[in-house]
Amino acid sequence: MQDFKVELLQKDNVQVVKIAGILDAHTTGELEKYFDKLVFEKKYHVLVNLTELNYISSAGLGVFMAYVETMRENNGDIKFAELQDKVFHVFDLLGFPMLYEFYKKEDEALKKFIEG
Amino acid sequence: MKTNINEISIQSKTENLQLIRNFVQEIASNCELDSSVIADIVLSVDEACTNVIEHAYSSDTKGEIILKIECADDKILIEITDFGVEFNPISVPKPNIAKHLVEKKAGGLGVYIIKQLMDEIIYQRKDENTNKLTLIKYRDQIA
Repeated sequence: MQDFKVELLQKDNVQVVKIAGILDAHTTGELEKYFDKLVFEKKYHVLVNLTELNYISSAGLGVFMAYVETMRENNGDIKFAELQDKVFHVFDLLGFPMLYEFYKKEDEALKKFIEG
Repeated sequence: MKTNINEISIQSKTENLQLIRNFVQEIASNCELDSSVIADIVLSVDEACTNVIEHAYSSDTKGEIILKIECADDKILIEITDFGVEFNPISVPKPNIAKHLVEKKAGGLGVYIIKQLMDEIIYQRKDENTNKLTLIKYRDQIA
């Protein structure tokens, strides 16, 4: 596998998914497995930390699009934190800031989940 | 600046997307372009090649993709040629992202990105088995 890594942590009732490296059509399949697992385990509060993500293409964004409604139907959400400017630029091109919450720091996003 | 043309032939596998991006990055870096413009071109070519792999070749990894980059005084031009089934990205409609979320699916995103980032997109179906997509970025239209 090329430069791509996913790390899963739990903070309170929030699942923190840390994605590092490159998220393109080659690596999205791997990320989908993690999201399938979260849904299977009924873990619907998902915070995606992208501080170490260096590149994303639309294939990567497609994963977040495919799962967010399932999370929201179960009173959860997918929120994003700590994106590099070049990565946020791609989310912005597709209008994600209108449909998802983005935070500068992971703590802010966590607080939002906990306080509701 | 002297017009410079570079070409590579790559097998249609998603694991080669990194190779494709590296090639575009390297050539575009010698075209006196801003790094953010280079990043936009790299992303556009990635999206176009991903579509070739998934749609023109239906993920058959034995297909061939020919990538040609021309760096000229007034523009940078990228030609992506494949020999798969007809796939015209220009005809792909603009995605309705909000609707995609509700329907839990994604599609048409890559083409929408290319249309936003590049100045001109030309699609040609030739010889009944060849798709040729040309992406152009003009220097005078770079903000």
